[in-house]
Amino acid sequence: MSLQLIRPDINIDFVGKRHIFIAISTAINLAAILLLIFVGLNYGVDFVGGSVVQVRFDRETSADKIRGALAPLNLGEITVQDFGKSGHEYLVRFEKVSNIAGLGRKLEEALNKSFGAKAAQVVRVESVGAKVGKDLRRDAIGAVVVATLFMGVFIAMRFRNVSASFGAGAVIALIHDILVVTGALVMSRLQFDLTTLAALLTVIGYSVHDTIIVSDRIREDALKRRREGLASIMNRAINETLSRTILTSGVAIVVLIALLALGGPILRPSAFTLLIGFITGTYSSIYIASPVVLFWERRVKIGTLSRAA
Amino acid sequence: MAIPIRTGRGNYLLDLVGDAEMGGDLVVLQLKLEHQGGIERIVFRCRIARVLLESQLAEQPAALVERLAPWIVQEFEQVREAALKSIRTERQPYELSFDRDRAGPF
Repeated sequence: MSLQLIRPDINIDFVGKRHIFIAISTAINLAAILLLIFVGLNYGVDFVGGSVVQVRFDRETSADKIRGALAPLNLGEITVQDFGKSGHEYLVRFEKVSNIAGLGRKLEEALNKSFGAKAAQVVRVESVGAKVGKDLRRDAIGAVVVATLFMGVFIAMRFRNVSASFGAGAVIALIHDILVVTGALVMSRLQFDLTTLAALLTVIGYSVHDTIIVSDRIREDALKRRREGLASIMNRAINETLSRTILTSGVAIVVLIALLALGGPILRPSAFTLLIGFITGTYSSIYIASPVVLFWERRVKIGTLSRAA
Repeated sequence: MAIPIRTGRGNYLLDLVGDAEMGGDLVVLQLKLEHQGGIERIVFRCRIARVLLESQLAEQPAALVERLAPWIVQEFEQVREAALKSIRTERQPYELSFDRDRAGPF
Protein backbone atom coordinates (compact mmCIF):
# COMPACT_ATOMS: atom_id res chain seq x y z
CA MET A 1 0.00 0.00 0.00
CA SER A 2 1.56 3.28 -1.07
CA LEU A 3 1.56 6.40 1.06
CA GLN A 4 -0.41 9.16 -0.61
CA LEU A 5 -0.32 12.49 1.15
CA ILE A 6 -2.10 14.16 -1.77
CA ARG A 7 -4.70 12.36 -3.87
CA PRO A 8 -3.55 11.82 -7.47
CA ASP A 9 -6.93 13.07 -8.78
CA ILE A 10 -6.88 16.28 -6.72
CA ASN A 11 -8.54 19.20 -8.49
CA ILE A 12 -8.40 22.47 -6.57
CA ASP A 13 -9.45 25.55 -8.49
CA PHE A 14 -6.29 27.65 -7.99
CA VAL A 15 -6.78 29.76 -11.10
CA GLY A 16 -10.41 30.55 -10.32
CA LYS A 17 -9.50 31.95 -6.90
CA ARG A 18 -6.50 33.92 -8.12
CA HIS A 19 -8.10 37.35 -7.73
CA ILE A 20 -8.45 36.96 -3.96
CA PHE A 21 -4.82 35.92 -3.56
CA ILE A 22 -3.54 38.60 -5.92
CA ALA A 23 -5.41 41.19 -3.85
CA ILE A 24 -3.90 39.79 -0.63
CA SER A 25 -0.41 39.68 -2.16
CA THR A 26 -0.73 43.22 -3.47
CA ALA A 27 -1.73 44.46 -0.02
CA ILE A 28 1.22 42.63 1.59
CA ASN A 29 3.63 44.00 -1.01
CA LEU A 30 2.40 47.55 -0.52
CA ALA A 31 2.78 47.15 3.24
CA ALA A 32 6.32 45.84 2.70
CA ILE A 33 7.20 48.82 0.50
CA LEU A 34 5.85 51.24 3.11
CA LEU A 35 7.80 49.45 5.85
CA LEU A 36 11.00 49.63 3.78
CA ILE A 37 10.52 53.35 3.14
CA PHE A 38 9.37 54.50 6.58
CA VAL A 39 11.04 51.98 8.92
CA GLY A 40 13.86 50.47 6.86
CA LEU A 41 15.97 47.37 7.24
CA ASN A 42 18.15 46.98 10.32
CA TYR A 43 21.42 47.12 8.41
CA GLY A 44 24.45 45.61 10.03
CA VAL A 45 27.64 47.63 10.22
CA ASP A 46 28.79 45.79 7.05
CA PHE A 47 26.33 47.84 5.02
CA VAL A 48 26.26 51.06 6.97
CA GLY A 49 29.94 51.55 7.61
CA GLY A 50 31.42 53.50 10.49
CA SER A 51 31.67 52.13 14.03
CA VAL A 52 29.12 50.61 16.34
CA VAL A 53 29.76 50.38 20.07
CA GLN A 54 27.35 48.45 22.27
CA VAL A 55 27.46 49.57 25.90
CA ARG A 56 25.86 47.93 28.91
CA PHE A 57 25.15 49.92 32.06
CA ASP A 58 24.57 48.61 35.55
CA ARG A 59 21.80 51.17 36.03
CA GLU A 60 19.14 52.78 33.89
CA THR A 61 20.29 55.78 31.92
CA SER A 62 19.29 57.86 28.90
CA ALA A 63 20.68 58.64 25.47
CA ASP A 64 21.11 62.30 26.40
CA LYS A 65 23.29 61.48 29.41
CA ILE A 66 25.43 59.20 27.27
CA ARG A 67 25.86 61.90 24.61
CA GLY A 68 26.83 64.34 27.34
CA ALA A 69 29.40 61.91 28.77
CA LEU A 70 30.96 61.35 25.33
CA ALA A 71 30.96 65.00 24.20
CA PRO A 72 34.45 65.78 25.61
CA LEU A 73 35.95 63.07 23.41
CA ASN A 74 35.10 65.09 20.25
CA LEU A 75 34.31 62.02 18.23
CA GLY A 76 32.18 63.80 15.66
CA GLU A 77 28.55 63.06 14.98
CA ILE A 78 27.22 60.18 17.06
CA THR A 79 23.87 58.43 17.24
CA VAL A 80 22.81 56.87 20.53
CA GLN A 81 20.08 54.27 20.30
CA ASP A 82 18.35 52.37 23.07
CA PHE A 83 19.00 48.69 22.49
CA GLY A 84 15.82 47.67 24.26
CA LYS A 85 16.94 46.51 27.70
CA SER A 86 14.96 49.09 29.74
CA GLY A 87 17.56 51.78 29.45
CA HIS A 88 20.48 49.53 30.39
CA GLU A 89 21.93 48.92 26.97
CA TYR A 90 22.68 51.32 24.14
CA LEU A 91 24.19 51.34 20.69
CA VAL A 92 26.47 54.25 19.93
CA ARG A 93 27.10 54.71 16.23
CA PHE A 94 29.84 56.83 14.73
CA GLU A 95 29.89 57.59 11.05
CA LYS A 96 33.48 58.73 11.00
CA VAL A 97 36.09 58.42 13.73
CA SER A 98 39.44 60.01 12.99
CA ASN A 99 41.35 57.80 15.39
CA ILE A 100 39.74 54.46 15.90
CA ALA A 101 42.54 52.91 17.94
CA GLY A 102 41.33 52.03 21.43
CA LEU A 103 37.83 53.35 20.71
CA GLY A 104 36.22 50.88 23.08
CA ARG A 105 38.60 51.74 25.91
CA LYS A 106 38.20 55.51 25.40
CA LEU A 107 34.44 55.24 25.54
CA GLU A 108 34.50 53.01 28.60
CA GLU A 109 36.78 55.42 30.46
CA ALA A 110 34.67 58.45 29.55
CA LEU A 111 31.44 56.71 30.54
CA ASN A 112 32.84 55.36 33.81
CA LYS A 113 34.13 58.84 34.64
CA SER A 114 30.64 60.17 34.20
CA PHE A 115 28.53 57.34 35.60
CA GLY A 116 30.87 55.86 38.18
CA ALA A 117 33.56 53.19 38.24
CA LYS A 118 32.59 50.01 36.39
CA ALA A 119 29.12 51.42 35.68
CA ALA A 120 29.57 51.00 31.93
CA GLN A 121 30.91 48.06 30.02
CA VAL A 122 31.61 48.06 26.29
CA VAL A 123 30.48 44.62 25.13
CA ARG A 124 30.94 45.08 21.39
CA VAL A 125 32.87 47.28 18.99
CA GLU A 126 32.58 46.81 15.25
CA SER A 127 34.07 49.05 12.59
CA VAL A 128 33.77 49.09 8.84
CA GLY A 129 35.06 51.86 6.61
CA ALA A 130 32.24 54.12 5.43
CA LYS A 131 33.14 53.65 1.78
CA VAL A 132 33.28 49.87 2.21
CA GLY A 133 29.82 49.90 3.80
CA LYS A 134 28.36 52.02 0.98
CA ASP A 135 29.98 49.87 -1.69
CA LEU A 136 28.71 46.67 -0.09
CA ARG A 137 25.19 48.04 0.05
CA ARG A 138 25.30 49.08 -3.59
CA ASP A 139 26.70 45.70 -4.58
CA ALA A 140 24.09 43.84 -2.50
CA ILE A 141 21.21 45.64 -4.20
CA GLY A 142 22.92 45.10 -7.55
CA ALA A 143 23.27 41.35 -6.88
CA VAL A 144 19.58 40.98 -6.08
CA VAL A 145 18.45 43.03 -9.09
CA VAL A 146 20.81 41.30 -11.54
CA ALA A 147 19.87 37.82 -10.23
CA THR A 148 16.16 38.61 -10.62
CA LEU A 149 16.50 40.05 -14.12
CA PHE A 150 18.71 37.28 -15.42
CA MET A 151 16.31 34.65 -14.08
CA GLY A 152 13.48 36.37 -15.93
CA VAL A 153 15.42 36.62 -19.18
CA PHE A 154 16.53 32.98 -18.96
CA ILE A 155 12.99 31.72 -18.39
CA ALA A 156 11.58 33.95 -21.12
CA MET A 157 14.11 32.47 -23.54
CA ARG A 158 13.59 28.86 -22.45
CA PHE A 159 9.83 29.08 -22.73
CA ARG A 160 9.75 31.42 -25.75
CA ASN A 161 8.29 28.74 -28.00
CA VAL A 162 5.25 28.71 -25.76
CA SER A 163 5.13 32.25 -24.45
CA ALA A 164 7.70 34.85 -23.34
CA SER A 165 5.23 35.86 -20.63
CA PHE A 166 6.58 33.03 -18.45
CA GLY A 167 9.66 35.23 -17.91
CA ALA A 168 7.49 38.14 -16.81
CA GLY A 169 5.56 35.84 -14.48
CA ALA A 170 8.78 34.61 -12.91
CA VAL A 171 10.19 38.12 -12.41
CA ILE A 172 6.98 39.40 -10.84
CA ALA A 173 6.85 36.34 -8.56
CA LEU A 174 10.47 36.99 -7.55
CA ILE A 175 9.82 40.66 -6.81
CA HIS A 176 6.87 39.58 -4.69
CA ASP A 177 9.06 37.12 -2.77
CA ILE A 178 11.82 39.69 -2.19
CA LEU A 179 9.31 42.23 -0.90
CA VAL A 180 7.66 39.73 1.45
CA VAL A 181 11.01 38.58 2.86
CA THR A 182 12.43 42.07 3.30
CA GLY A 183 9.14 43.22 4.86
CA ALA A 184 9.39 40.34 7.33
CA LEU A 185 13.00 41.30 8.10
CA VAL A 186 11.95 44.91 8.75
CA MET A 187 9.22 43.76 11.16
CA SER A 188 11.44 41.26 12.97
CA ARG A 189 14.29 43.81 13.28
CA LEU A 190 16.75 41.02 12.60
CA GLN A 191 20.00 42.44 11.39
CA PHE A 192 20.51 42.52 7.62
CA ASP A 193 24.12 41.53 7.11
CA LEU A 194 26.13 39.57 4.56
CA THR A 195 24.77 36.19 5.65
CA THR A 196 21.19 37.45 5.41
CA LEU A 197 21.97 38.71 1.91
CA ALA A 198 23.26 35.25 0.98
CA ALA A 199 20.00 33.75 2.30
CA LEU A 200 17.99 36.25 0.22
CA LEU A 201 19.86 35.26 -2.94
CA THR A 202 19.20 31.61 -2.09
CA VAL A 203 15.48 32.41 -1.83
CA ILE A 204 15.59 33.90 -5.34
CA GLY A 205 17.18 30.72 -6.69
CA TYR A 206 14.72 28.44 -4.90
CA SER A 207 11.65 30.45 -5.87
CA VAL A 208 12.49 30.45 -9.56
CA HIS A 209 13.23 26.73 -9.44
CA ASP A 210 9.72 26.06 -8.16
CA THR A 211 8.22 28.43 -10.76
CA ILE A 212 10.05 26.59 -13.55
CA ILE A 213 8.61 23.26 -12.40
CA VAL A 214 5.05 24.56 -12.65
CA SER A 215 5.72 26.44 -15.91
CA ASP A 216 7.27 23.38 -17.50
CA ARG A 217 4.21 21.30 -16.68
CA ILE A 218 1.97 24.01 -18.14
CA ARG A 219 4.05 23.90 -21.30
CA GLU A 220 3.81 20.10 -21.46
CA ASP A 221 0.05 20.07 -20.92
CA ALA A 222 -0.47 22.89 -23.41
CA LEU A 223 1.19 20.82 -26.12
CA LYS A 224 -0.92 17.77 -25.32
CA ARG A 225 -4.25 19.56 -24.99
CA ARG A 226 -4.27 22.09 -27.80
CA ARG A 227 -8.00 22.66 -27.73
CA GLU A 228 -8.28 23.30 -24.02
CA GLY A 229 -8.40 26.84 -22.58
CA LEU A 230 -5.29 28.29 -20.94
CA ALA A 231 -6.89 28.65 -17.51
CA SER A 232 -7.92 25.00 -17.49
CA ILE A 233 -4.45 23.88 -18.62
CA MET A 234 -2.84 25.94 -15.86
CA ASN A 235 -5.14 24.57 -13.20
CA ARG A 236 -4.44 21.02 -14.28
CA ALA A 237 -0.67 21.61 -14.32
CA ILE A 238 -0.68 23.16 -10.85
CA ASN A 239 -2.72 20.28 -9.45
CA GLU A 240 -0.47 17.72 -11.11
CA THR A 241 2.66 19.28 -9.59
CA LEU A 242 1.04 19.99 -6.22
CA SER A 243 2.26 16.79 -4.60
CA ARG A 244 5.85 17.40 -5.66
CA THR A 245 5.69 21.08 -4.68
CA ILE A 246 4.28 20.44 -1.21
CA LEU A 247 6.57 17.53 -0.41
CA THR A 248 9.74 19.29 -1.59
CA SER A 249 8.87 22.57 0.06
CA GLY A 250 7.50 20.85 3.14
CA VAL A 251 10.70 18.94 3.78
CA ALA A 252 12.81 22.06 3.32
CA ILE A 253 10.52 24.08 5.59
CA VAL A 254 10.66 21.47 8.36
CA VAL A 255 14.47 21.64 8.27
CA LEU A 256 14.36 25.43 8.41
CA ILE A 257 12.00 25.43 11.37
CA ALA A 258 14.45 23.15 13.16
CA LEU A 259 17.33 25.49 12.26
CA LEU A 260 15.36 28.49 13.45
CA ALA A 261 14.48 26.87 16.75
CA LEU A 262 17.77 25.13 17.46
CA GLY A 263 20.35 26.83 15.27
CA GLY A 264 21.32 29.49 17.77
CA PRO A 265 22.26 33.11 17.07
CA ILE A 266 24.60 32.38 14.15
CA LEU A 267 21.93 30.71 12.05
CA ARG A 268 18.78 32.51 13.19
CA PRO A 269 18.72 35.47 10.76
CA SER A 270 19.53 33.24 7.76
CA ALA A 271 17.09 30.52 8.83
CA PHE A 272 14.34 33.12 9.28
CA THR A 273 15.02 34.62 5.84
CA LEU A 274 15.05 31.21 4.17
CA LEU A 275 11.92 30.04 5.97
CA ILE A 276 9.84 33.06 4.96
CA GLY A 277 11.37 32.93 1.47
CA PHE A 278 10.62 29.25 0.89
CA ILE A 279 7.01 29.60 2.03
CA THR A 280 6.41 32.66 -0.12
CA GLY A 281 8.36 31.13 -3.03
CA THR A 282 6.04 28.11 -3.07
CA TYR A 283 3.01 30.37 -2.84
CA SER A 284 4.15 32.70 -5.61
CA SER A 285 4.83 29.86 -8.05
CA ILE A 286 1.12 28.98 -7.86
CA TYR A 287 -0.64 32.25 -7.19
CA ILE A 288 1.57 34.89 -8.81
CA ALA A 289 3.60 33.50 -11.73
CA SER A 290 0.77 31.54 -13.38
CA PRO A 291 -1.89 34.30 -13.10
CA VAL A 292 0.60 36.79 -14.61
CA VAL A 293 1.01 34.51 -17.63
CA LEU A 294 -2.77 34.13 -17.89
CA PHE A 295 -3.27 37.89 -17.69
CA TRP A 296 -0.61 38.52 -20.31
CA GLU A 297 -1.94 35.93 -22.74
CA ARG A 298 -5.53 37.09 -22.41
CA ARG A 299 -4.56 40.70 -22.89
CA VAL A 300 -2.64 39.81 -26.06
CA LYS A 301 -5.71 37.77 -27.05
CA ILE A 302 -4.00 34.51 -27.79
CA GLY A 303 -6.73 31.89 -27.43
CA THR A 304 -4.80 28.69 -26.87
CA LEU A 305 -1.10 27.93 -26.61
CA SER A 306 -0.55 26.30 -29.96
CA ARG A 307 3.14 26.76 -30.76
CA ALA A 308 5.18 23.62 -30.45
CA ALA A 309 8.25 23.48 -28.25
CA MET B 1 46.81 40.44 32.13
CA ALA B 2 45.75 40.48 28.47
CA ILE B 3 47.10 37.65 26.32
CA PRO B 4 47.99 38.58 22.74
CA ILE B 5 46.77 36.12 20.11
CA ARG B 6 47.45 36.05 16.42
CA THR B 7 44.55 35.32 14.12
CA GLY B 8 43.72 35.47 10.45
CA ARG B 9 41.99 38.79 11.11
CA GLY B 10 44.97 40.35 12.81
CA ASN B 11 46.28 40.54 16.37
CA TYR B 12 43.80 40.41 19.21
CA LEU B 13 44.02 40.59 22.98
CA LEU B 14 42.18 38.03 25.12
CA ASP B 15 41.48 39.43 28.53
CA LEU B 16 39.38 38.81 31.61
CA VAL B 17 36.62 41.33 32.31
CA GLY B 18 35.71 41.77 35.94
CA ASP B 19 35.90 39.01 38.55
CA ALA B 20 35.45 35.33 37.81
CA GLU B 21 32.40 33.60 39.32
CA MET B 22 33.67 30.68 41.37
CA GLY B 23 30.55 29.23 42.97
CA GLY B 24 29.25 25.66 42.76
CA ASP B 25 30.26 23.24 40.03
CA LEU B 26 31.23 25.90 37.52
CA VAL B 27 33.86 28.53 37.03
CA VAL B 28 32.46 31.35 34.91
CA LEU B 29 34.76 33.85 33.25
CA GLN B 30 33.70 36.98 31.41
CA LEU B 31 36.22 37.52 28.61
CA LYS B 32 36.81 40.04 25.88
CA LEU B 33 38.48 39.65 22.52
CA GLU B 34 39.77 43.01 21.36
CA HIS B 35 41.50 43.79 18.08
CA GLN B 36 44.74 45.58 18.79
CA GLY B 37 43.86 48.22 16.23
CA GLY B 38 40.70 48.98 18.19
CA ILE B 39 38.34 48.18 15.31
CA GLU B 40 36.63 45.32 17.09
CA ARG B 41 35.80 44.12 20.60
CA ILE B 42 33.51 41.30 21.65
CA VAL B 43 32.62 40.24 25.16
CA PHE B 44 31.59 36.65 25.83
CA ARG B 45 31.33 34.24 28.73
CA CYS B 46 33.16 30.99 29.35
CA ARG B 47 31.71 28.33 31.67
CA ILE B 48 34.09 25.60 32.79
CA ALA B 49 32.99 22.59 34.82
CA ARG B 50 35.14 22.30 37.97
CA VAL B 51 35.62 18.55 37.41
CA LEU B 52 37.86 19.40 34.44
CA LEU B 53 40.21 21.52 36.51
CA GLU B 54 42.92 20.74 39.02
CA SER B 55 41.99 22.38 42.32
CA GLN B 56 44.78 24.96 42.12
CA LEU B 57 43.99 25.94 38.55
CA ALA B 58 40.33 26.41 39.36
CA GLU B 59 41.21 29.31 41.71
CA GLN B 60 43.41 31.13 39.22
CA PRO B 61 41.34 32.86 36.52
CA ALA B 62 44.43 34.29 34.81
CA ALA B 63 45.86 30.78 34.40
CA LEU B 64 42.55 29.59 32.96
CA VAL B 65 42.62 32.36 30.36
CA GLU B 66 46.20 31.41 29.49
CA ARG B 67 45.11 27.80 29.00
CA LEU B 68 42.17 28.88 26.89
CA ALA B 69 44.10 31.22 24.56
CA PRO B 70 45.56 28.60 22.14
CA TRP B 71 42.13 26.97 21.81
CA ILE B 72 40.58 30.35 21.00
CA VAL B 73 43.19 30.84 18.26
CA GLN B 74 42.20 27.50 16.73
CA GLU B 75 38.46 28.12 16.95
CA PHE B 76 38.69 31.87 16.44
CA GLU B 77 36.35 32.32 13.48
CA GLN B 78 33.60 30.24 15.03
CA VAL B 79 33.87 31.86 18.46
CA ARG B 80 34.06 35.35 16.95
CA GLU B 81 31.01 34.84 14.74
CA ALA B 82 28.96 33.18 17.47
CA ALA B 83 29.87 35.91 19.96
CA LEU B 84 29.06 38.73 17.52
CA LYS B 85 25.77 37.24 16.43
CA SER B 86 24.76 36.43 20.00
CA ILE B 87 25.32 39.96 21.15
CA ARG B 88 23.75 41.53 18.04
CA THR B 89 20.71 39.31 17.66
CA GLU B 90 20.09 37.68 21.04
CA ARG B 91 21.40 40.73 22.93
CA GLN B 92 23.26 38.58 25.40
CA PRO B 93 26.85 37.45 25.61
CA TYR B 94 27.74 34.19 23.93
CA GLU B 95 28.34 31.37 26.39
CA LEU B 96 31.17 29.01 25.63
CA SER B 97 30.81 25.90 27.77
CA PHE B 98 33.33 23.20 28.65
CA ASP B 99 32.26 20.03 30.44
CA ARG B 100 33.02 16.30 30.47
CA ASP B 101 31.54 15.83 26.98
CA ARG B 102 33.39 18.77 25.52
CA ALA B 103 36.56 19.44 27.46
CA GLY B 104 38.23 21.73 24.93
CA PRO B 105 41.62 22.85 26.23
CA PHE B 106 40.90 21.55 29.74
